[in-house]
Amino acid sequence: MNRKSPIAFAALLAAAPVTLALPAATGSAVPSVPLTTFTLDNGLKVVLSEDHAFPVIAYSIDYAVGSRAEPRGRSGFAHLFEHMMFQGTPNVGKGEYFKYVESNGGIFNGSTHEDYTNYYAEFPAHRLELAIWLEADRMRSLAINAENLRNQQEAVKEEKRQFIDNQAYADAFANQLTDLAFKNYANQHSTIGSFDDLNAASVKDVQDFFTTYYAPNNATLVLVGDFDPDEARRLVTREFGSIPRQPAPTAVDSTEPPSSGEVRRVVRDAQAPTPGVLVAWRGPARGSTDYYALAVLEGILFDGSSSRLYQDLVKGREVAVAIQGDMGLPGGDYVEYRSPGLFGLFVTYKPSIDARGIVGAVRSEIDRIAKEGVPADELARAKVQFRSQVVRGLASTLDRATRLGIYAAVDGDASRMTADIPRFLGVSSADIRKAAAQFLVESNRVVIEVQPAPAGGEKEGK
Amino acid sequence: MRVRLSGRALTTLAAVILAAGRLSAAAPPAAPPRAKLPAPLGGAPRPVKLPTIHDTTLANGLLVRVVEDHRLPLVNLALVLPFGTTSDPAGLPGLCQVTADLLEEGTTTRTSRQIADELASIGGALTANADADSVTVAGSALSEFLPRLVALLADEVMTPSFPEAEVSLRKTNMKQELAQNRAQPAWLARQRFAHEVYGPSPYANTAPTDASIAALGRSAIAEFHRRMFVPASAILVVVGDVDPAAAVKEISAKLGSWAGTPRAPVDAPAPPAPSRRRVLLVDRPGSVQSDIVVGTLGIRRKDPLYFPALMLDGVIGAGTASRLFQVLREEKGFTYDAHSEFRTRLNSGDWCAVTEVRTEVTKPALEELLRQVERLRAETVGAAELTAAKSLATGIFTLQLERPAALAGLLAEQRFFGLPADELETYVAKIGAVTPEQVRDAANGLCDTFRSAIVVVGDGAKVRADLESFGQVSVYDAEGNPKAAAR
Repeated sequence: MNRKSPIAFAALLAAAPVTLALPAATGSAVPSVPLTTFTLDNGLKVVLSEDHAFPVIAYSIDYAVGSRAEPRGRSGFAHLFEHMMFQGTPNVGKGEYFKYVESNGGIFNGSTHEDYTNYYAEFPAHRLELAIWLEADRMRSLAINAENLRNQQEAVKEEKRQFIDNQAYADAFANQLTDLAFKNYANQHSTIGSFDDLNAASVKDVQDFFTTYYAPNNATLVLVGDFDPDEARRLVTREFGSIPRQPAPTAVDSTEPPSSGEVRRVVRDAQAPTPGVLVAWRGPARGSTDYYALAVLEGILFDGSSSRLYQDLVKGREVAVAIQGDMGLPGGDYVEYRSPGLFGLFVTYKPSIDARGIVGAVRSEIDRIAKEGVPADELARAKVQFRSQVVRGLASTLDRATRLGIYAAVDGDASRMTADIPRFLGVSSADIRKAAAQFLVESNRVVIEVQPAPAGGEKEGK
Repeated sequence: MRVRLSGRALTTLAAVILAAGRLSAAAPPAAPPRAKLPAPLGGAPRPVKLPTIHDTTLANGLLVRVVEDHRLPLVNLALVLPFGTTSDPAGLPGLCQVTADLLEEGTTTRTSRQIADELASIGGALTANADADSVTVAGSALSEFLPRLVALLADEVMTPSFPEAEVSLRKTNMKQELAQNRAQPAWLARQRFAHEVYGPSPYANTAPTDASIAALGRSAIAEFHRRMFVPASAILVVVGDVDPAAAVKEISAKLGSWAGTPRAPVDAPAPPAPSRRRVLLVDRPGSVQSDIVVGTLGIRRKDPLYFPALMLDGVIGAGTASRLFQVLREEKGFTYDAHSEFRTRLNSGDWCAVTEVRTEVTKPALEELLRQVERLRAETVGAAELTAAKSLATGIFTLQLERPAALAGLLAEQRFFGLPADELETYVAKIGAVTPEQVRDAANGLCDTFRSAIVVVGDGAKVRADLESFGQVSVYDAEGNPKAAAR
């Protein structure tokens, strides 16, 4: 790992390929991902990463807009819009996008997050031109009509029913957590939104959102795989180059007022077979020393069967059924984490303990870390695990494209994907102690208890 | 153990299920083309280099298959043992799974905690899982730690100690996990479907029960391990940043002394073919959706109709251009996802169409789903639609070759199912050779909805009357017990 070659993304208009060199095989090897970056005249940022090991190409196009941009009354709109991106254009009829991708041996998807929305696909290498054409075609113009909108409103509502309304614990995760943790509506409301808000979306909303946010100057295209860089550049420039730039969208104000102390809520959940408790803390700024420290601490506390809380609660005291923790709740991880964001965990537990007991156990483990730090061997182990997870996360061409895309969207710099790794691996016990003492404290905490409601009972706590 | 809850990022599709070799959704009705620009579709496919497989059989019968992949400093392992949940004794479902689960909870030389810490310190993961016909112990680690990963694998598989306290904790947690599973409509639907389709066959055995969990004990588990976990006919696949000769040497050193009496292959006879339609409602009061699964007994992996059936599955329900996705979601707006599932076993298999719809549209959605399934028997698939399904299947096969864990699965399957030695080389050609008539032959067996099981998991008070129009309804509760007809 070359620790000093971060590629200043925006500064490179026509960069020569910069390779993050792989050192000789040592215990600290991290993968090398060569990157070339350039920006088109219309502001589209482009990242190319050649890899000729396999005859496939993958891309991710990341738009710098997500659910935080939604005004009151339009919760869920960014995600609904994402669905509309698959509904066709003047050149690609309804249903034809799916057909073009799959009948050419490709796979694809898109996903909506708080601060960005991505569209990605993987194809056999000889379909590079088709991939670029399809993606540029829908950035240029969408076939937005009332029928397609109505249809996708229904699809999204079913998505909400399937993954949230009809699942145990999901209400607490998707709806209650951010609502309780934050005060600014941009951060408070859920990405899936409410049925009322989804129903209220109009064709004009879709058109305006498209014009404002789906402009080349608000996007980054990452292309990875078996391509000739000159040809890729020629195709990207030809297909995207004439799409007009738009005025930069107004930045979302996601600032949070200072926390006014711990908040707690009890949620009744008719579908939950056992009680559970969500504990989360408002986290540090991305890129700060505390961010790296907590990302490493996350592994030490929650991740896998050697983690402290698993060993204490599931194994040692046998009071918990399962533990799931992350930096980037609900649903994200440290890769996409951005402040205001949440570090925390969810524990389902047995009748031999109550929520108070679980929260107390979590607290005492964290207090111990804040006081004593982490022993050297445990920290070393956590870093090997971290490095291994990074490597696993890059296993396919598509994995690399989507992950580079997230770094491009969140940091404005795809090269941070690898350039950041030494920051995580350099975290010290003192860094962890300091971050735990500052952030993982009661006054900065949110606790949601999920209690099984009597059979047939209604959910409360909305 | 981590449970993934649904706070996840929202996506346009249900899932990109590459590991299972499929997407979630298929071909739209021919849309009248407008005046549009043509998509650029020139160029010829580049040849996919198939991996070089280094096969070695150890003296104890263990087959070792190694493939080099130096793109990342990672190694993936998969040990596949030729027995699974079909080996559970009658009345003791869960024995095979619990034995697999407990491998990591202590050996004669390491405690559970030591195994966890050792794995963490090599950046590793190692998990055992029981399927119907096989147990797979799979994992990965940074490639520099291959010897330590192999040592852990050998320790877990050859000398697990099944400590009494770990057995007891696992039993308690299995009960909790069973309760969590029963809270999930998708799980309830698959369970009911498997019980109905496989009937008396051990293939129906998919999950433990409260009674079987209570009955599981250390001696039965240790005996099951002694009898079943033997090297003969087992397959160990290694894919990653390794030198094949060095990997084989390491494996011989650690697993060469693994002994055990070879067993006769498990005989899981194929269940009888169904003769009539069955409508099964799993009552889930308060459910806001109906989870629908419609399907039937299918074919085994070695069946000559495998590739035609795979294409049938592709046309109707693999991918977003498939018929179910296009009609049920994109046309009708009934659902977020509609797809089909095609499972092949050693001696049997099943096929089903799946969707989840809001309670109010249960009846029209089920009618439409049945219409789409029956269409495959009534009409011959068009050439363009079949070609599209072939392209998707070929594409996904290529993408599997690129993914180390998926490639390890393909290499194990080829030997496990006794497929031809050139299966990977000929896979794409076999897909290419499927004709519309063969797809129809496959449909005659799989798509007769008058002999299918129709499973609906939903709010019985709201959907039962609707279901009566499809046949006589049998009602079950979440524990799998029949409910009285009157409500």
